[in-house]
Amino acid sequence: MPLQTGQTGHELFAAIQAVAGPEAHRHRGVDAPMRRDTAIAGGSYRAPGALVDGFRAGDADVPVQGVVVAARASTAVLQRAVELGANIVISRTAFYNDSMDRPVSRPESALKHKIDYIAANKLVVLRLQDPRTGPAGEAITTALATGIGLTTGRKPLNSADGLIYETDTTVLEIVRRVKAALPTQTVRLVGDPALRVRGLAIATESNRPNALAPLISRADVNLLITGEVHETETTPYVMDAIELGLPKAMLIVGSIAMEEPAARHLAEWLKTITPVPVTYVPSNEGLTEVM
Amino acid sequence: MRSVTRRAGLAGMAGLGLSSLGLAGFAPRSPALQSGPRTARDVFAAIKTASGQYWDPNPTDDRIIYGDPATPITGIATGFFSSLALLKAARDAGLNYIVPHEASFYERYDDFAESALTDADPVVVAKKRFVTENRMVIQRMHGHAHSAPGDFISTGLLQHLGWDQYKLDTPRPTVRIPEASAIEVGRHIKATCGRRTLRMFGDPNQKVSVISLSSGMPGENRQIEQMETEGVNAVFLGEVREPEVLGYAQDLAATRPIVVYLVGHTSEDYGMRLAAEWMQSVFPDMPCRWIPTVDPYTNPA
Repeated sequence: MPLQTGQTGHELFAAIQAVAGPEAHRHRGVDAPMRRDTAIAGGSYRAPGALVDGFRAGDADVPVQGVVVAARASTAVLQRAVELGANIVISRTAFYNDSMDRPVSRPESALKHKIDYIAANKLVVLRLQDPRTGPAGEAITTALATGIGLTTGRKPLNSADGLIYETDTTVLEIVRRVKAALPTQTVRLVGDPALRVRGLAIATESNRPNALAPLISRADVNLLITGEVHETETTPYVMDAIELGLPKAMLIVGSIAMEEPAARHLAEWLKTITPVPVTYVPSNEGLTEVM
Repeated sequence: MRSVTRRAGLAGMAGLGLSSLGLAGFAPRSPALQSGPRTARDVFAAIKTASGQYWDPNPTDDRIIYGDPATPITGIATGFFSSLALLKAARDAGLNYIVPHEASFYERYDDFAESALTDADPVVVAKKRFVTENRMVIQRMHGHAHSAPGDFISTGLLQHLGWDQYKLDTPRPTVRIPEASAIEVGRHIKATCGRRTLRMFGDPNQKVSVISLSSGMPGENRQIEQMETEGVNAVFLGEVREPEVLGYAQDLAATRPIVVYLVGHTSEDYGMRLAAEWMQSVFPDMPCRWIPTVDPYTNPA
């Protein structure tokens, strides 16, 4: 049901959830390995079943004046939102320099500046990244796949575990499509660009060791496209699989850049359920390949 | 994978060190000179003793990961991780005691407690078979490579970059190099490290001089701290969690310029050359060699 003018951020989020459908995974709590991560990693990791969607900054009990959607709510994106008169910013990825989006007790300078900027401009930031099971939610999750021409041949799989498509192309062709679809030229490939791809997996993000092993180890997957991996686990696995002669490759495209198609699609879809202005703002990952 | 916090305490044991670390007077505490065949168990015991370190296998499992401890050892190979390519090169060189910095079985503690792979996974099975059939033994050296006197990993990286002469007297590795543009410095890093890819954040024309370095993946708090260090105008990082660390650089760029080089986790590999040199001093009668790992990534046009 379309929202009415003057409805609040909470009402907007409720409407999004109602149409996009429930999350593909339910929260499983904090598991034992996560406790080990938290204890020693010098940072934070998110358990694979943990949900992230929700308001992470600001008071959402205010009327929505305008919405900005971004792959990551960088400070530059927030500044653009203020210029546009939007007070709700939707971020696909973490934006508080912590995978759980928890402000640290003594924020570093850029984080403090960001927190202060959000407060001073009465911005509200909604994290919206969990794969959702309704048709509208699935369309967001599959936005990158759609953007590189994968519209058929999807295999049944919980979308929170990744997407798998049957196809018949080459790694190099996929690299070219990805570079055309994403605002990045700094992809990293493990494997042979000439490899024939008949099974392609896409995992939208991973900040946890081992999370992608079940995908790339599948016999029906030749190529894994992912945002980022643990370079001492998933990358070595693919290197060794290739050394063994297995037809495997992995394309790492950047976990912020990877969310741009989903953010753009989400913005277009939101325009159909809210009367307020909705704008997609590119996050500009800012990376250059040193040549 | 990560830098251990006990490093600070153990680093106080300076005075021990390799000639290549630039520290005089180094000698293994108990050179493992002995006649007759040495088993993997003997070699590991000698390494632990000669290191002069309190040897805590936790949290990164610096222990014999795989192979029969009773295996007679013919030579030592060190490297970033015990890839099948490295294992083959070691076998061909007659080296059967493998000392990788990182995990061997795609699970960071090599204890399979967190592994999402099945026991029947063909890659896991093939690697175990290769090690067994070639009578090899894998002994990980992660935390103790970082905490070795002089720190093999960061010293090896600075030497590889040719920047050890520019090292500042700071708690974390920092250099003041002759001022150059960010892209020029990036090209130097790419060429010296043999990188096939190198991602850089920031203005390529930004002048760079004071660079904070870490390799591996010490965690976002440490990596953000590098960017926050006063006077630093560029940071060299290994592996990052992108929304957190690249994201921090994006946010920082809203208030002041910053240059970030994302070099990859294999930037720790150069430290394992020093580990091999050190082991050669412990085992002068046995070949000890560093087998480098090629940058696993390319960026096809």
